[in-house]
Amino acid sequence: MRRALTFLSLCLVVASALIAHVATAAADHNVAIGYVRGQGLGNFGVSAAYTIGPLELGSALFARVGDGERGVAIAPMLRLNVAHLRRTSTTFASTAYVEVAPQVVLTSFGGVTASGTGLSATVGYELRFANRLALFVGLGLHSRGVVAGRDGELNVTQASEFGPHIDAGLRYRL
Amino acid sequence: MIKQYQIFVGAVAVAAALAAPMRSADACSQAAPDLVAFPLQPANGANAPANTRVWIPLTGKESAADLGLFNSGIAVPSEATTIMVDNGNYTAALVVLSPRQALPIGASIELQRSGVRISQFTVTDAVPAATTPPSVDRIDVDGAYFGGLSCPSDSRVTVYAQPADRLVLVLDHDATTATLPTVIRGIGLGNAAVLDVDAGTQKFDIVSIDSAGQLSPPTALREVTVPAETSGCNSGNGSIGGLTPLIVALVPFARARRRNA
Repeated sequence: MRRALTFLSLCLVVASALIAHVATAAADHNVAIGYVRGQGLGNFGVSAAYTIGPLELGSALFARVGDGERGVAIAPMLRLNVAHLRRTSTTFASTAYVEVAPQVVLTSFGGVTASGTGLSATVGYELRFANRLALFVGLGLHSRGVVAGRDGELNVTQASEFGPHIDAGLRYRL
Repeated sequence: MIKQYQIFVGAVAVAAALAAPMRSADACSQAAPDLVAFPLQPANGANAPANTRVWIPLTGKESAADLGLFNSGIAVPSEATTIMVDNGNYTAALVVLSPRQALPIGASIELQRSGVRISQFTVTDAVPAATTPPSVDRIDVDGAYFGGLSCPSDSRVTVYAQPADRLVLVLDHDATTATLPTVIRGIGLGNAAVLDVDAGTQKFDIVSIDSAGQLSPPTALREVTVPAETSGCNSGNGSIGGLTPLIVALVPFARARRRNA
């Protein structure tokens, strides 16, 4: 019974999102690029996404620089705009979203190449302005395994991480 | 009817609850390890060269004044050097007794603590000098875990060297190895760990002491990069301060909205 209710709720969420999308699709600009921070990956990232209905497919690229580390983290993401572009004023529209993003860390600690993987899930809220800019803030959880690498006698390991994160970003819709 | 902002506030509350430390500090407390748990060098019953040094771990309230070398009951004039072992988290000490003159070949030397014999070695000229640095098998570099959702762990550099029965000493790169070091960052039989090192580049020298008490030359400089600390309650990989550029970007929008209102 509980599973059935959960499934029904999910169906309702998806259906309402689709209906909302149909009502506002004409105003869409499907490609968005911008700055992003969070996902437990750092403060400096760029993102690009493509909107397909209530869904957004995209990826973020984070720089991991500092303390002898040089590398990147790639986080392909799937975002569901739950109430797609609910218009709340003449100057902006808004939508809540749910986002899932696998993570791949490719980095180097003093020349020792290391890698690791993870996953993040985020719930957030986005404001889209008439000038095509959009701001979003999200909260979520991420889990990343150890980032480890070996080079000869050196065996470098960055501890695993699990915890909440704050996402934030500024995007421009093309 | 649940509003969108209510879902958002709920998510904030859940995340904040998860960010709170799940374990008390007591549950994660660890006893300080014994940093100088190694057998005497030279070992009891071993042969040693005439210019040997005697390496003695200090325990409890002992001091260098309690220790002495004796040849057939006669005190051997020695210089006692106390060396601090500071691995970043805990400190301990060891004492090195260096005879002021070469020991007579064939002599049986006793090490006494407060008048009680604790070790004996025989001086011979058959012990080769320690001319080669230790052979490093592996260096493990582990970044720290700050804690939050589980017990914290320190950043750590552990050196594994051969021969495994030798004392391994890890020294800061700027420490002199021409004489005895004054501070040792890590010491142990076969492997030595340095704890709680800062993230970023660290430089170490590695030496060893053989069973005859001889200090080897240092290895080539070892340079390692310690990864940044991770945590269970961080806002990103950095701090919440990383939101600053976004908050600055938001100001014009907030002003525009106020004007419209």
